[in-house]
Amino acid sequence: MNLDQELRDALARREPPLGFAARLEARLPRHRPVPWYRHWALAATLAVAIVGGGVAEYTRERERRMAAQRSGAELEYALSVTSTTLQKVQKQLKDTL
Amino acid sequence: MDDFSKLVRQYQAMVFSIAWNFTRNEATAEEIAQEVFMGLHKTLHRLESEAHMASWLRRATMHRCIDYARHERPRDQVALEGLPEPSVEPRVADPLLGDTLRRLTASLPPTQRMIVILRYQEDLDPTDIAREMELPVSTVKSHLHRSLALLRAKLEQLEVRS
Repeated sequence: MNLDQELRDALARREPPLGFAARLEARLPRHRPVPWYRHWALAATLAVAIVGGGVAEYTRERERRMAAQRSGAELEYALSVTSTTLQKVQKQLKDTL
Repeated sequence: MDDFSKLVRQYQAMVFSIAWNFTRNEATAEEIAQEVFMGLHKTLHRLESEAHMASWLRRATMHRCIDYARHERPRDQVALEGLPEPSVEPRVADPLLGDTLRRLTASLPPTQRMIVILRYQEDLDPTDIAREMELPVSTVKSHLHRSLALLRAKLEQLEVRS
């Protein structure tokens, strides 16, 4: 008897019972554990998004202020033109009367 | 089928068989195998290669089997010391030789049992077994030699009785 060969035959691999993989799948957590570096990548992405959003908001606010300043200057100019025109009209009326 | 399911299909026979040949209990072997794969699921991202994975699986299965042996009821294990070498090769015509050998292997002490399983199921040489089990190569060779002598002696005894 060749004991080595008999042992190889006796101890040969066998498949587990039917349904093994399905039973295992049912026990596994839903989500795979996330590698540590992915947490850092997510944090970095969020940081960039927050900072980027903040910069965009600041830029929009500055443009609003500048637009308001321009509007104010235009209104002031329009009022000064109106005032000058009114003064001219008043003088003409005075001269006429 | 996702990647992890493919890995399970690829390695389930290896893992289950180590556990089954060690425990000779299908339910226990399945439980051990399931725990091994659940552990693999958690550590998969840390494994570097397929060879690393196969080694990881064998070690994880081996540790769980030996832990199981520490907690199970002491079985009728065969001592290695004091057994003479058989003088004549036994003539065995037992059609259930495979089952007999599996039972005898399962009756070996845990460390010797695992060495025989890794040698004959996984076809690992003593150097590989020594690395997997973190034992000196000389210890593995000695255990293997004595285990085979024991198995031969037990077969001879069974042959004489029949």
